Amino acid sequence: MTGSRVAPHEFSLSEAAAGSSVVLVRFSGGRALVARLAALGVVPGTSFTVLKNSFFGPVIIALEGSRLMVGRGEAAKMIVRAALPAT
Amino acid sequence: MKPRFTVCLAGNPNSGKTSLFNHITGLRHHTGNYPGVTVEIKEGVLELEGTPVRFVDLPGTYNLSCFSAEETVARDFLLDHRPDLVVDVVDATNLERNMYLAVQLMEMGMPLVIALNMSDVAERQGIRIDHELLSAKLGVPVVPTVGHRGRGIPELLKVVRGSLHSPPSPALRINYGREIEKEIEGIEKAVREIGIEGGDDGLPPRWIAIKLLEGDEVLAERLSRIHKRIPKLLGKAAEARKRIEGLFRDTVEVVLAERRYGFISGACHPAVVCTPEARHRFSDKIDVVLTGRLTGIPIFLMLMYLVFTLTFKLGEIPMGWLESAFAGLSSWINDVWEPGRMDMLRSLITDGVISGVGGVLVFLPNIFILFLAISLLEDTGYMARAAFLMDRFMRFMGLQGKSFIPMLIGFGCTVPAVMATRTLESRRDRLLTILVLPLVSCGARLPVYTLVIPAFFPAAWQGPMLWTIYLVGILLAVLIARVLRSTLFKGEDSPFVMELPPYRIPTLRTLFIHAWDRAKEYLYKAGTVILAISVLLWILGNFPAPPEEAVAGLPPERAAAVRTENAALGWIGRALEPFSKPIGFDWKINTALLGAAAAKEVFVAQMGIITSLENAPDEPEKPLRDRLKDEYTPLTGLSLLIFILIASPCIATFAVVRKETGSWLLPAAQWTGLTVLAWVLSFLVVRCGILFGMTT
Repeated sequence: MTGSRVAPHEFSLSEAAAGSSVVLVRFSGGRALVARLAALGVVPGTSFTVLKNSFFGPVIIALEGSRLMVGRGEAAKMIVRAALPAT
Repeated sequence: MKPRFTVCLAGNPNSGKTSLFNHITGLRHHTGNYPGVTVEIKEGVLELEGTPVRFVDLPGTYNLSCFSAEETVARDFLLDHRPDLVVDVVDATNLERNMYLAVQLMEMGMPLVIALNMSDVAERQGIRIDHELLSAKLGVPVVPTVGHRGRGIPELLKVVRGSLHSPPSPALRINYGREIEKEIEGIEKAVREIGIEGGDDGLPPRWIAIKLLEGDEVLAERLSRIHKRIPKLLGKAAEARKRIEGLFRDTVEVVLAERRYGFISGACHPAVVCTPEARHRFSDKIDVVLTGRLTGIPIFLMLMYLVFTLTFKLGEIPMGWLESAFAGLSSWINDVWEPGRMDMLRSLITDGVISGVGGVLVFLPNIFILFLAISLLEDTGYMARAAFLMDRFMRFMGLQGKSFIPMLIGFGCTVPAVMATRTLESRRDRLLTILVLPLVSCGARLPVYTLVIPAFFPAAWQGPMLWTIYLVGILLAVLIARVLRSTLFKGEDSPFVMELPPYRIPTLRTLFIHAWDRAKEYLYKAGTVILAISVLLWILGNFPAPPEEAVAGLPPERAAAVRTENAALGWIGRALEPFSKPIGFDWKINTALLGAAAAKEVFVAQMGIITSLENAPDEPEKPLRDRLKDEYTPLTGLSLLIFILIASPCIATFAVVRKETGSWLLPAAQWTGLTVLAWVLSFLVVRCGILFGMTT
């Protein structure tokens, strides 16, 4: 398991602002979470948009082709960084 | 004719798998737009050019890991039954994600055909898939289909038939890269040495190696049952796991998933021409309102209110028809049946079977309307949003948003609600939800409330009283869930990750099929458990029989009451009086409650029979409600309401909990716990009432 040390430009998904685009850096969650997210197409390197994050309740993210709702606790275990603006 | 071949349908939730299954088998089955609607394995037989083929609809899954009940169910089926072919239904609008399951199936060595479903929607969205190229890249047949319209099904069946008669292709080998391959090979070699492939016939050793590398506990346990030397193998796999995690600084699952997606991209990219997505644009707009911070909850509450008003107001009308139909049937039998000829049999039919089963059947319209409404919420995709909105509240209970759906169904009937808990991934969440579900007032308890409340409380109180009773149930569920969560059910939450499917407009036909499928379960309950219990209760209520002269010349209902008083039921009711007196119940209520243990609504009928004892024979018969009013106090009524709400889940619930949890202990503990709790709370209410000068 990798450490849950967070680099300065990294933050957890639960802290991401609604409307922002982020890239998943790594998980710090348990295996069940990792397996479920991977099966849903979310692995490190996947970029997605945060649709809804109101600082309580689940976070909704928009991937290519699907919308996922991730529980607050789960989102806290997903370390992301801001996606580079499209060029 | 016994089917020669078995074909499984696998696929992601919302891939249109069940629709396709319905079209193939012609069976009327449910299609849902809520992740994980197919919780049971359904099957149907179809003749394919003279050969009967069994089609099996597996639960919708994203993966074949060991982390969720549905995935385990699907995988166990594949491992235990070794189907001759798997048709993976793939949502063409979300190809790469859906291919993850296909890749898992191919690695398992399952003979596979891919149904590229919703190909029409994909095309409309500007996604063009060259299915022939995709087929060549993957090495399995790919057939475009439009499940809900039945398009592409003849072609699919042709390919299925062809595949059944041709030798299966070897299992897919994904190149996981040099370091991982080395570890896989090491474990694979050990697997071959033990000779597992002979034991769990035909499973590719490489697949076993990969799964053990992923630390798949369910598979490890399964293998341990067949082979003695598995622990050594597991140790080896654990070491390999550690080495990989050290090297890649990430978990094995993540590393392997990345490689699988790499393979999928490689296969899909050349075959897919894609323009920016439009599929969710419309859905996202609706979601701004339906899951909005200010609008979401009010709309949700309004919808729930609507569901319940519709269920009960609209249901009242056909319920009245059914009630008079059963009453008519009973009195018709009593009219044409000559007295003195097999009176016992007549009584069994009218008092036992018709009043027991009929008493349950009259709720069919309510149940059907409720299920219709729930189907509508599910099939449009709203239910997943409701889980989003309710997540906070459910977390407060120590559960998660998903547990909300079984709770909602629980207002209709606890039996399908318990079955609906299968969508919950963690066993702990599932058991916890099942344990508190009987506290959600089911439809069968409503007739008891509507009998008791107006008997004791003024009209202005009746509405609020009914609300309060429902609310008390919910609050107790919250409380008990929280207590259990922090004592017996401690531990980390299971991951809450759920897909929000795009909104869809369901067809009326699928809605009706869906609601009917569930109503059937209720009917089945009426036809089996309740029928048996009704007969049993009738026997307990009539034997030992009183001397003939004691009932001679009495009107029928009064005669029945005299019989009950003298029979086993009356005896048991009296024997329980020392326990029931402190909560204000006499032997008559006890006797009726014994009936309610079978099915809550039986209380009403039983109370009707037993209280007719007080009617003077020459007086006109008073309605049951007035009899209650005369005989008992409001405090007893209150105590009774609480007791009916909480105590002893019905026999059907007991049976389904036993089936779903695979244990006798759990339903027994649930039954006992709730009954004791009911007594304690009723007792407290009675004591408080007495303090305020009320009497029982």
